[in-house]
Amino acid sequence: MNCSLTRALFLPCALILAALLHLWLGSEISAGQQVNLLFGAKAETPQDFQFLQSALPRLCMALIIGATLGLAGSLLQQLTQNRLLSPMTLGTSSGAWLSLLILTLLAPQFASEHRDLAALIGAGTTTVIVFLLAGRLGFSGLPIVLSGMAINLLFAAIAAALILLNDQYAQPLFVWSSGDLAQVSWDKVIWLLPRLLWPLPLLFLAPRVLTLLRLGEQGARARGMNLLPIFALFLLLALWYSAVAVAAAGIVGFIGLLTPNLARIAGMRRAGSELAMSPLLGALLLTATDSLAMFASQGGILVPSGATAALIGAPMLVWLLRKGEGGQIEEKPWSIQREPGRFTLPLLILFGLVSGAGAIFLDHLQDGWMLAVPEPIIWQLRWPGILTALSAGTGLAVAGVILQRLIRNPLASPDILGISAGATLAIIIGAVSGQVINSPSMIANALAGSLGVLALLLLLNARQQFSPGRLAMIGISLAALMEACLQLVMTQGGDRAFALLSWMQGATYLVTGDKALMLFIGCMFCLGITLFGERALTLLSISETVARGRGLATGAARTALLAVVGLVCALVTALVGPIAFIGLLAPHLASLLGARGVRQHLLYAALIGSGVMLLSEALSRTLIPPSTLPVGSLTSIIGGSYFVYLLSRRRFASA
Amino acid sequence: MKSALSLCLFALLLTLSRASLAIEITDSTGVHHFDKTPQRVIALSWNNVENLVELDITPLAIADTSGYNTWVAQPALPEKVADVGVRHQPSLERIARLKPDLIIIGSTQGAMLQKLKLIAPVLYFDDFHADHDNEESARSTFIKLARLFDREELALQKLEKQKAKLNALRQQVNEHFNGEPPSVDVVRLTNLSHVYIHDSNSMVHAALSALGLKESISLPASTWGVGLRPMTQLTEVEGVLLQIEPFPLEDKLFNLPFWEAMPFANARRQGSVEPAWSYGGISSRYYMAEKLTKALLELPTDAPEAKP
Repeated sequence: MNCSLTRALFLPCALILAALLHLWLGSEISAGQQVNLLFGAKAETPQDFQFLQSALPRLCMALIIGATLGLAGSLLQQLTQNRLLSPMTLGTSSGAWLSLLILTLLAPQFASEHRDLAALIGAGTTTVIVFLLAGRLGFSGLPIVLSGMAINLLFAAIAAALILLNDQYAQPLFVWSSGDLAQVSWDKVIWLLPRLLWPLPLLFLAPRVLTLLRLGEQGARARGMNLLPIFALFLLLALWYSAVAVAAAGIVGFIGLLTPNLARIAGMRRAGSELAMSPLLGALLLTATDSLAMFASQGGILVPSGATAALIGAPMLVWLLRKGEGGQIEEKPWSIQREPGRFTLPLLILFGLVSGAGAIFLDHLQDGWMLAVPEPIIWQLRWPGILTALSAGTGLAVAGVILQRLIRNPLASPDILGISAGATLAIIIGAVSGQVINSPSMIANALAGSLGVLALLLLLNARQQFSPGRLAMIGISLAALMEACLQLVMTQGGDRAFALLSWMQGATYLVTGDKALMLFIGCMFCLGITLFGERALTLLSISETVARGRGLATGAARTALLAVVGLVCALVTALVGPIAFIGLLAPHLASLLGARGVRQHLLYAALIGSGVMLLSEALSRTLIPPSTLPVGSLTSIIGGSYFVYLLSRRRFASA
Repeated sequence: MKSALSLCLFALLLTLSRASLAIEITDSTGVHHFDKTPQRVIALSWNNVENLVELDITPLAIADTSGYNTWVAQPALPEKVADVGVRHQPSLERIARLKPDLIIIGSTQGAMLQKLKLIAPVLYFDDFHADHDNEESARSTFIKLARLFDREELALQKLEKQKAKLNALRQQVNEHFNGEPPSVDVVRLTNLSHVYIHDSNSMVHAALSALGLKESISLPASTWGVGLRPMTQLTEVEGVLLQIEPFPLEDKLFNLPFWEAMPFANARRQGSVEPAWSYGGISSRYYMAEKLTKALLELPTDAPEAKP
């Protein structure tokens, strides 16, 4: 009794404390004056107005947005029985961001006046796409998390390419996208409240519906209820809440994902109590992170709340996953579907050759598309990019094959596991502290970053198996953390951000001959080692016990193979930039095409990986002359679209 | 014998002086020598496009012509300048096909240096830095380029002329405010809650100083001369606030109670500046000053006789 009373009092007390701290940090006037103003004293100094029109609405926004995100997260997670869902994982925010960006480029005036509308449309459409992709049966499992992640990566790549091509126009949006809660009037609060309040009566029905949902569809039908319309209604409600929050506050990740899980850890097992506690926790969490953001901004550099939320949220999520919460997703064994056809290998080789020929000969000059033998100077500029594409494609494919076999999971890949994100993060930090992008010292940075993530993964999975959902979540949190850091850099003004963004999208065309050779040698070395360790990899991909039974020093073999992965990721990320989807798709497609043995798997995957990279390389030069499209954006768009197609065919889920 | 020796010496001196005729120029990477004045120049950074145009040199190509015309605009780009793609993703191959004999790049474009060197000599002027004076660096780059193109005379003339014009503007501003000009803070508004405030390393600051004006908010010098700050920091403005257009939400912001409570929120202390490029070369200081003056002169002041 006593215990539950303290527990019941703890949350409101913490919330009040956080709110007071927030006000103290946000305003310059004394507490006494604040109280006077609240009780109707007339505001006179600019500081008084600052308190009334900026500090107070900001606090309200933090409370409301936090509560909304918590509520939306809890609804989503309970509806789908999927503890990994949130506006962040569903691609809601990246959809809002892309739609706002496109609208700003097309109609700047309209977009700046109706920012919320643009965000709302984008967020809504994206989430519906993600749900459609996952399909009704995929809601509770991995498919929806994957769909969300694929859409996130895909949209982020398109957005980055758009920003690069229209740099000055996009600048004013960075502050919004970084999730900043600063206010100068009550307008946003006033905009928000009616949109949040009208569905509230419906929410009183929610606990009953959610409880019924836990019984499963059949159980509910037995009680004479057809759940589908109600399910759809509440799903729409959850999406509405997340979209409104994104529209008003920009991209604030993690809150919606974390709070329902925290509520459950705190013992809120019933549908209603979780639904009630999540908004409170969300409000508390966002008020606290926003206070931190204000505190950090006092040094002069503006730190948006989105960044601090990610900074606190990412480790918290990792901790949650470690506790085994949130990772409960059924695993599907990785099986091979069919024999390779007679023409599979020749076709793959043909694909590689055609892409390679395109990268070498394709051109797009003033008088249109053409195939031509490059002149000496053009060739001198072109070959390092081609070699880089070839090497990076092969290297990432090798890394993907190793990870998928070692972890026995079709999703394990450098991008999904966050290994590339770790390397990227290390490079962004290096660039901010003044190092030159693509300088040799950055390779050391990248290596530290990718090996750091690998070590973290090993640590987290020391006892349990690598479950797909958990792996995906680590990748998602690291990617979100990286995105927040990038946004932080972007908001600071000046042109430096665009140089960073340009590299972030994979700039093969900047790679010099010696670096291309270095990458080639590095990647071929890794391929060689993997082929040398073929037996170890084969045994390990069957099972640990089998491997040990055959006399393999499993620990050493595993470490060596993972070191190869870390090396590939570090090299590719440092020299080219983060390249998404290749490490995931090439090995997966290879096994779909029937690759069985390690050697065959490596060969197929390398052909696919380098083929896609070379195709992107050819298109990057020729698609929108005179500008160059970033290769990474193209691979993300090609790979991402194909991944989405796979998901829509449900082949990924059943593979 | 003696005369033969002196003849030899003379010949030696002659070759030495011939050698020193090669033009020497120092950029952020070191010293470069040019045997003759470059004829086919491609500039990828807009501040250097501006420098070239000011020196009456028509570049062969630049990065993002339409971007330059929209955002920089002054000095006007001559026609027939080719476009080699946006500033951070230009087409190296198109640059190579134009067969330039000099490529000029600026801050943030250093990553392209190695590749561009394969095409032609590259001058890299990293003019924007937190730990040096951006204005001084811009001036020195302008003079260096003028020397390279054998137009030092013209450059000095231009700077002299700009100085004279700046003095005239300074006079005008001074008279307008009856000899007591207020402090002036110049900002770029981006959304309703945040604002870019220029610091002492900005061309805006250089223009203000040339006009004999001072800011009331002083931020630490930064690489690009701007800092992103919450709108609430504008409560510290003591004198006049100028905002550089365009800002689509002007009407909305200026009618907020919070804005109306700002110390500068009245017609006498708040003005708008025509669109201007803040990351330009040394001449952009003059264009900026011209636009700032125009905005300041539009502010009503008390006529001396109106004072009680």
